[in-house]
Amino acid sequence: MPPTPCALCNASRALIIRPKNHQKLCKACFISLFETEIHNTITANSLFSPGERVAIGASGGKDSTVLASVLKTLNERYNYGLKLMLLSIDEGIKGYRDDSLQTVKRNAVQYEMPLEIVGYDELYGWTMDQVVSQIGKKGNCTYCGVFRRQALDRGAARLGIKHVVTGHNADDVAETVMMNLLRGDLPRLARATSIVTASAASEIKRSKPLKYAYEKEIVLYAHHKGLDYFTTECIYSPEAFRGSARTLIKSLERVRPSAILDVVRSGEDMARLVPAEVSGGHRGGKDVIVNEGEAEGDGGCGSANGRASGGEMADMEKQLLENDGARDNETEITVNGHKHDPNCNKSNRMPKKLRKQQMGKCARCGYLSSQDICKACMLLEGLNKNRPKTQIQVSVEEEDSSPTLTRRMEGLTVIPGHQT
Amino acid sequence: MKYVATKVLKRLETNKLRGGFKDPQRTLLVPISFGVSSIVLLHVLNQQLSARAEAGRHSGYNLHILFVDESAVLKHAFLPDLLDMLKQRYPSHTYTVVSLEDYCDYDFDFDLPAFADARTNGHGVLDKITRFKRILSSLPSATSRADMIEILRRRLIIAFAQKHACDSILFGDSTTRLAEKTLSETAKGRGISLPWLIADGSPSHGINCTYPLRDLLRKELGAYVSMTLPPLTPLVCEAPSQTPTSSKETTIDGLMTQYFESVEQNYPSIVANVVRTSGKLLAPSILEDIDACTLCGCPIANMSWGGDQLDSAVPRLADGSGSEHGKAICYGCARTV
Repeated sequence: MPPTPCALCNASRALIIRPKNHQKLCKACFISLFETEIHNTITANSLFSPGERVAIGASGGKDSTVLASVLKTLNERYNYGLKLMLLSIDEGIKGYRDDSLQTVKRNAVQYEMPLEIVGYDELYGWTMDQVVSQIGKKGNCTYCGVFRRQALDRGAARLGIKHVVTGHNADDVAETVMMNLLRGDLPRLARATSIVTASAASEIKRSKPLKYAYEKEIVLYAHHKGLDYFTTECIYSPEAFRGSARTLIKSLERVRPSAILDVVRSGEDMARLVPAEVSGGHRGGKDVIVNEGEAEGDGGCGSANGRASGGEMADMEKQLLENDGARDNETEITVNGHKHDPNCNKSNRMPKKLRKQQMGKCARCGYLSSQDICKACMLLEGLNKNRPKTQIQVSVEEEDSSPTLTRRMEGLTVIPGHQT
Repeated sequence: MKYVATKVLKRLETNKLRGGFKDPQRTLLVPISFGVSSIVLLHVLNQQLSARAEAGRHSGYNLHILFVDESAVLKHAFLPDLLDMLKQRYPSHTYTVVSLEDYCDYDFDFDLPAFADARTNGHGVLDKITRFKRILSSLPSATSRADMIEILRRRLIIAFAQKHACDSILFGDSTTRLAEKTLSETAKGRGISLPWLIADGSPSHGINCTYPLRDLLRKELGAYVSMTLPPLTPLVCEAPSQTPTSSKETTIDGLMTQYFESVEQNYPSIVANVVRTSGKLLAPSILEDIDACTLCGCPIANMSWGGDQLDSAVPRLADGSGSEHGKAICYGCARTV
């Protein structure tokens, strides 16, 4: 049997079957097609403006490495006029982040981009390892996710950059759509699919140029371009919901490869169906939703590989059951009491459901928040409450290790009056 | 027992379908599949009607039972005995059987140009079943075929209701089924039509569709069926949910059924939560001047979309004659055909 020629150039031998549509392509055509598609995404959504300084949220993983490589290529090929740099977050997870940061450092040299690393310990006074040792392996993704969102913004602010691009791919977005349907999280459903998310006060916008790129194609691209990336996944427990949604998306992809994009499309369409009161923000133009900047949803580190612990789902199940119980009781009473006013209980419940998010600034750190105190400060407060013991030990035993102390002090000044 | 009946009737009440004393007698269409859900729905409605009749009260509504015969596309044949049993048990209602391929007899525009060659075989017009089977076999995958059958059944039921001047259609979908539908339609790129497909009182196609069993899980209905006196079990005939051996036969709908089977087992509230959530989605206002999809009849909200990576706007199927005005179909259907 003669080798199949590439479906595009008809000259070279086809080596790659495109995961998206099973098109048979040669290596060169696949790489140029992949790049062109991302170029299309960028131009169609006018993601960048000439001369803009853009930070690439780089973890050293395949997505952000491919993103950095493609953006560099496209920036040179199409003269975007962008000034690109890498921004990494050091969560402080030994055996995971320290290794992947080495990859990022190599990438910075390979792509000739400046690199900035922002650490959880310097921002919050806590590394993820410390957080996990305190609260255990369950539920620590919430901390990590909340901290990371702020850390990215703060890192960008430090660099004086107003635009951060992240490596979220189509699989991630599709996963988030399914996850938010399962969780019943309409506000996030409304904003998770938008390619650009801008927050009203922090002035730092985020975008996902790889939003329509399949994870499998990203891996193929990285492989055929010989990119240097880091493959180990986060060692701490993943979110159950994301794990469940991820397994589902992968099965869907097997049944119908287009399903991932179809879910993304559905998600975009559904976002327009979410009542405006819930979506918590007005629409700022095509596909841009002005919001709190929590676009990725809780956690969202995307490393949950189906090893769902189930704890989170079980918790939610329990909570929902309690809600149900309460509502059933409530309804029974209302029905008995006001038999002639069936709308009564409905109107009672509506305002609670459709509460609009009011944006303001955190009273402690000044970060954008819908509450008086932002989520990161709330979480920190919880952590710090249990800390005094260790802190005293640290200050007594390591009196001369001033860097640690100053860092601690910084951590304290960020959140004044934490021991209330 | 009482719980199930109350949940169902409360839904009817909120949708103002119970029929008050002064209201004119309504006709409600109840499509049945001999699945657990539709049999329970029929049983509960029948109970209410007979209780009212005993009390000498105004019944409020009539039931018209519709069975869609899908033996043309299913492996197992339709059992006429079952229908007779049902008629014996609930004798006071009107019963009709239509076949899936009978859609040709209803005047909804369905024949896409793409299916034009299915109509003839060069010698003359083919009969309904052959034509229908040809359309199905022209579809690219098992998912598409299952999707097409689903769409056809729904449109057939709605067309039937309109033809027979029914006031409302009561679908027997359980919470579990609705949650399955939500996620599988999402996966098929039809997120935009969810409000039309699963919301109560949705204005789709000019007739009111209601899902009175939307608060009940499939396993609850399964328990109910065996607890009634006499049990309803002999009336239920469901194809066992088997896992297809080859991945070619797997459908998105089938996958979702499996998925929710396991979710329902462990996290029933999450199933209900999905349905509540999707129920909150708003149907886009009619003002937007949306075309209806030729295939599924749901509104088309096609706009240039980044995911296509093309400059394609509305996917239109070229008309058979090559004229410029093809028939518009929605994104989800474009994926299916």
